[in-house]
Amino acid sequence: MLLNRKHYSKDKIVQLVIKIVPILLFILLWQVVSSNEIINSKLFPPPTEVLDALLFWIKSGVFWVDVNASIWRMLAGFLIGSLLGILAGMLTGRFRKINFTIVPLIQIFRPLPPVAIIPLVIVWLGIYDPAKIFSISFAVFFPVWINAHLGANSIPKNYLRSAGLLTTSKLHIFYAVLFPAALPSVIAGLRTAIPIAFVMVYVSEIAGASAGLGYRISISHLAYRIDIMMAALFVLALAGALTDLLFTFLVRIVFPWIKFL
Amino acid sequence: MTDTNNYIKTESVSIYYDDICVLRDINFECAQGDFVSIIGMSGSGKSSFLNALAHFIPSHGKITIPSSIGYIFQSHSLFPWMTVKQNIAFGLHDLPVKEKEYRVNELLHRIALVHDKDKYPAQLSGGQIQRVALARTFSTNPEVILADEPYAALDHHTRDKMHEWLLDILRESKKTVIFVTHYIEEAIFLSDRIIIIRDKTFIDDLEMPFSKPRDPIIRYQKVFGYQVCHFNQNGPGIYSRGFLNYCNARPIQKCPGRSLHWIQALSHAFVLN
Repeated sequence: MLLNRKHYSKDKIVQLVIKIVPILLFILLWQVVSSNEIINSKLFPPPTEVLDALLFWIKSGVFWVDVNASIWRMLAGFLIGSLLGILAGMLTGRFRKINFTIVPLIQIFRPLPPVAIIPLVIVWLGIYDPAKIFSISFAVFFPVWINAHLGANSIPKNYLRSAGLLTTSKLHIFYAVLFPAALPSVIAGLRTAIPIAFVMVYVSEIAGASAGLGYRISISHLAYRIDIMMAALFVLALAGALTDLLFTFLVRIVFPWIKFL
Repeated sequence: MTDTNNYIKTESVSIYYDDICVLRDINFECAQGDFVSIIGMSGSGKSSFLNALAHFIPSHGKITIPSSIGYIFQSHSLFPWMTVKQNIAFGLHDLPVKEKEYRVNELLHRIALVHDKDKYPAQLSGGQIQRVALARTFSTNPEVILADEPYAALDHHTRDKMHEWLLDILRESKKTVIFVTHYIEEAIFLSDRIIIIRDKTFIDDLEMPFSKPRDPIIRYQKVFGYQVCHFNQNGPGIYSRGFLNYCNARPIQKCPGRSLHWIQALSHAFVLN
């Protein structure tokens, strides 16, 4: 038993090393190539400079304002878009009549690149947060909807049949059977939507904002501060990765049975 | 058998899937408390008949059946996102908490899974899953139990055990059971009547000459015949030879006049298909 556990932890360490080594090698290569002027360091500042810029940005106090603004917008847009997507997906996936009437309408909007609606949304809602949250929600809605729809539509018949014989409460069947049965698909949709929400945060902030990670990238471009631009890009990527990690962690905590499906 | 002979009744029931006839003109009656098995080859329409009884699929004709039905499925019988305890409690959500707890615990004891009550179905064996399904089906105390090949995916030993669990739980509650299977031995052991489906209709309706409550020991009285029957299930012909061996192991001479007839009919149902 003890031996097994030792082997297990050794495996874990090896796995961690295998994961970290390529990242370290990448940073090292970047440093060597840039600081030795193999390529223009003005256009491609080394990691040490990017780190300096990041620290400067954090010390200036603006960093948290930017992160706060972007994360708040992302969360609000993601929550609204995904809630509507789940609701619509459950309805279109389970009710034939709703499917026939609503799905053609959704399918007209679905191929539209979400980025393309931003100018129109600015005209309608201005350049402030409501416009950004609307754009993010719009982009998040479609992947969440299609996955929830497919999940709700492909629930094994026997689940619903046994539920229908055991209880007459439609509400009980909805939250105790329909929703959990469709949940793996819903979760897949939400995970797909997380990076999409980050893309939309970035794009909508470029289109006009006074704070945010996208805004920072945009103005550092104008000021020719490529080091800050890279630091902001790094933070944006990190925020996306951490959100995905947090999401999978929360799913495992809230729905411990998910691994059995 | 009780005298209420049309507790479950179908009159000229036909079932179609996209204009293809699966069952034609079925007239069936079942008394309260009866255990009726329906046997037939794969695709003969036995599951469709059960689904029509439960109103899962549309059918032509008239079906009379009590509204309180329990159904045991072969697959997807439990909700994988619920623990054993939650699965059994699913149909009892209207009850006060204490009463629900009491009922669930009683059923958990009944199926001897008290220590596994917090496990998920994926952590259970096939036999344990079907025991939980049995408890869940009985949790709401339905009047009629419909079972669609519930034990077909289990190994012989587990299946035999499941028969004993089922008979045990039925001994007190006296439910009416319609049991679909393609295992002849299973049908004979459990049933009061066996109905044979062939050519889209019920070709025979046979009464079983064994006493009730059924004693599991009868299966082991002539061990050899029983074994031959079990190990020869490789095709319709062998199936019936196994069946005849099984029948030879039973005290046929004590059966009513139809005894020879039911042996022949059951054999023909599979040999001639």
